[in-house]
Amino acid sequence: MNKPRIIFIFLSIYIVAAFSWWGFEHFRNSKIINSLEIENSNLRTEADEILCYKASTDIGEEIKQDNFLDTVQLNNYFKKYYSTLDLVYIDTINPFNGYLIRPKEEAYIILQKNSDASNSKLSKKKWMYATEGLVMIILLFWGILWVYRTFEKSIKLNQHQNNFLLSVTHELKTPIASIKLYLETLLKRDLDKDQQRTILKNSINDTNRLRVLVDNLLLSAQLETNHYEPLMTQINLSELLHKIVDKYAEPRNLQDRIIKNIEHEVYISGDEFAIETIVINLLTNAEKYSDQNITILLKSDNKHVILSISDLGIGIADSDKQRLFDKFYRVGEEQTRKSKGTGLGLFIVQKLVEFHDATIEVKNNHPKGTNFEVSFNV
Amino acid sequence: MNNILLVEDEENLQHALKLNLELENYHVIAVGDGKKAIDAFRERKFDLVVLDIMLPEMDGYMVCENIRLHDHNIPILFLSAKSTPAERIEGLKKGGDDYMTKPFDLEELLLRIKKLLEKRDKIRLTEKALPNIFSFGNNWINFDSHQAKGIDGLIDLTKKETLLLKLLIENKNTVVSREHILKVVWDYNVIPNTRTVDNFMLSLRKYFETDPKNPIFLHSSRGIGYKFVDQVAVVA
Repeated sequence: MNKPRIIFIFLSIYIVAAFSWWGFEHFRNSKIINSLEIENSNLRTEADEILCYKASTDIGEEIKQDNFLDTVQLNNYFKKYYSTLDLVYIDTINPFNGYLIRPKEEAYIILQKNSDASNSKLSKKKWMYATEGLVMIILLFWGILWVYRTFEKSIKLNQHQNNFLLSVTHELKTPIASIKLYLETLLKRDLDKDQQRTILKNSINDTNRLRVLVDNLLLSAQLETNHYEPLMTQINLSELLHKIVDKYAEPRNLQDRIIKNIEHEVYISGDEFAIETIVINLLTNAEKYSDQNITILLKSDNKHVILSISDLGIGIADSDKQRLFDKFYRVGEEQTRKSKGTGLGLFIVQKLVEFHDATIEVKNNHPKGTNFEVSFNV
Repeated sequence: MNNILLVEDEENLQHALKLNLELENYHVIAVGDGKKAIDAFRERKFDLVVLDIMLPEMDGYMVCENIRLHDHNIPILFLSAKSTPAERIEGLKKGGDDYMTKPFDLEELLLRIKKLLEKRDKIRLTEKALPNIFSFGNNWINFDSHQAKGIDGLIDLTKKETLLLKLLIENKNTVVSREHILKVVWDYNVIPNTRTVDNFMLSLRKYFETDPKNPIFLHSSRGIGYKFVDQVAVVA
């Protein structure tokens, strides 16, 4: 567990805890607010009358025994001036000494209605808080998840970049070392013509290898920073494929191993250089990971133009297929690498394919090996 | 005529190196991966090894460790594109005698190889006089003859017992994991159960510890592996 992860998890827990506490307090407060509101509304009944307990202190003086001859007169007085209040005599012998003033039943109903109204308002509010809270929590979790995923992605990218740096160092230094050694050898030793030719040819191959690597690095940097601008023209894809395959096969002596199944007169809109890069990268992979025949197929129908390159090699595990087109992604461990490469080839292929309003899919070939299929929309 | 084992997976480099070394009158066997290097090393005697690090099957560090178990003295020259100080130190720690980075100067390489071989010849002359013995406590072990003296007197150890003890002693005071022991001491092709290592350790403790249940030299590290503790160093 590294530091950023720990800090992130700690912050997330804190935010969720703080938010939940806030929500809970809100909830609790709304209950208190509600009861206060009920009291408040009870303080103002429909007739704006004073509540009974207030009444008993305020109007107690008015209804003293001295002011009235008997209870009937008092009742009438009460009916006239305090119609919403009831006078209840507790002391039957000396009614004026023990009486209760309280709101009439109807007033109770009003109060009850107020209370009900408030309570139903409260329960509506509770639902509102609950759903709002839920929505916010969902958003919060989604946000946390999203940030976490981005975190993970950048950590993984970092790892991949380290892997990449390891292999790029090797990939760049090795051909340079080999060319240097060959040149030193030519200078130092007296070699026969055949030996010299071999050495010179190998050195030229190595410079090509270096050039391809540097081109790939440049291209992937351009693609990533959106500085790549394709030059789209109408292309005779059939002819172009023949040209590319022949150019690729000749110096490597692969003419017998590459089987061409190319439909005639297939046209698409595309960038020639991009198509060449796509095909060469796929052919290079096929050559690297298989030692039998490689098939390049071009066919078209009304909706699509299909270009597929397949080999009978070691194939690709399903778990690797998902990340195959990621930048720097290579199958396996860097220390015990069997084959050379930087993990940029397929990344470049996919990006270039996207420029052509096309898709690329990787499937298993039968009986073994891999099939890369590019599908252009027409 | 000196025999050189060249371990380099890059075709052109291998070709050029072999050519140059043969023109210097060395006899060269060239291989392209770690496994083949170990196989070749077992098949015949070499006077020097030129070893790349990034190899298929098994990396150069492990090849070096494996070779060192069988031959303490053979000069090993690392030749690698990995050039950071940490990586050079790692190579030397693993038992390399020299470390050159790619790209390199041909003259320098040839000169260093020559000097390593000369030194090797000098050592050979004195080698026969001094046996390769290590002593600990009241015990000693002769790595060449597989003979040892334990708590019960003189004993003959099997080859694997010797190699295992040698690996632990070479990494003294550091824990060596079971997996590493299996990879380096046993055949990487046939990996037995890690229990095998435990059983071997039990035997070794029986031979050399006065109280096998409370070992002084052959410690175990729970869940990880084993460690040889050099009592002399601790006391000092």
